[in-house]
Amino acid sequence: MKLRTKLILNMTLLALALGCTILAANAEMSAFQGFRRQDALARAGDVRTIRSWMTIPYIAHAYHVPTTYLYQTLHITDKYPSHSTLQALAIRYHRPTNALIYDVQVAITAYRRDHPWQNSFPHQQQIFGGNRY
Amino acid sequence: MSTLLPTLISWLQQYGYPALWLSIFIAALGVPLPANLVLLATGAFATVSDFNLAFLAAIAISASVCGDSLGYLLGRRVGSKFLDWLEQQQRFRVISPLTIARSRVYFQQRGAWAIFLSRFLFSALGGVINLIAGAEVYPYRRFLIYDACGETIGALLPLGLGYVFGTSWEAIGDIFGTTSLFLLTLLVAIYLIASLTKMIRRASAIKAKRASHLIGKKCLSIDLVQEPQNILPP
Repeated sequence: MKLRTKLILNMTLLALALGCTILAANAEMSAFQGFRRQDALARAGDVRTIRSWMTIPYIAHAYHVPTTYLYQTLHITDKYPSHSTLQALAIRYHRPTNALIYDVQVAITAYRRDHPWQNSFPHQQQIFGGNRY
Repeated sequence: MSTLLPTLISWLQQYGYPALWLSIFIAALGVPLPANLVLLATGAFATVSDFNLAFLAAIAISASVCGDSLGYLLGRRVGSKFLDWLEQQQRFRVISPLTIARSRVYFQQRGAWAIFLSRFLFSALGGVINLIAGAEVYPYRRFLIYDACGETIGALLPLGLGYVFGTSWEAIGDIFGTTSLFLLTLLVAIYLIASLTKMIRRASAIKAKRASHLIGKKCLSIDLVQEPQNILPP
């Protein structure tokens, strides 16, 4: 290959690589911002951070709600459901995953309303602001 | 979130440690499974004592080292034979034997870094690096040392972060992915800048050589023109 052709090819590849680097740096910044937002919500115990990968014991631990209360409210009567994620539970009970997540959010909010003295997340009211989740 | 991840997490919750070992082992072979995200998730689950963190680390390191070793073995058995065949080819020569020999020497010199960094920083390249290391007949003992060191960081980092940040592990997974991509593109750009500088230097050296050659020729022709005058007696 001629040197001039090599130079042109190299310059094109370099332009592409630099473009990709800028895009990746931008994505990195967004990922950092996303993490800060998500972490602030999680630390405040915001129910919007509930995801389909969570299990009932995990939710109970992370959002300071009794496990038995969640099982009762969600009408989960399985013998060993502790190792099932919300997605697996939704499949088992023939319900959309988002609907189950919504029910969990409602249950936690109701529990916090009924037991305000047990609330370990002092900033949550400011974050919820009375909005629907 | 990857489409495969919820299924993997469900299996992880149902079957526990064997499911984790198997998924990490398969990912180490080069199959595109989100092993880092699985480790972050298990780290998060360890906060509710679903898993033991020390046991998780031991399982993750052993599975990834076993998977990497199998990849190395495959590369050594199949890849080295393929490279030998490429080297001996006379009719359909894709890569010259000199290039293959040069790549072998280069991997022997710099392969350690490639093995070590591809375990945690550029984990998407891990499977390919294992095959190359085997094909280039890189010493297995050295491969194992760098592999185990890299995999230890590659397992402890996501497990620890998952344990510390819990619910936010998905966002940390995003940071992992974008950091890896950013560093990879940056390295490629630096390499291309270095190679471009080298090319420009070579081009200018060739130009200078040509110019000096031309000047030499001109001087010679001037001398040849002037010489008869000098020879002539006054």
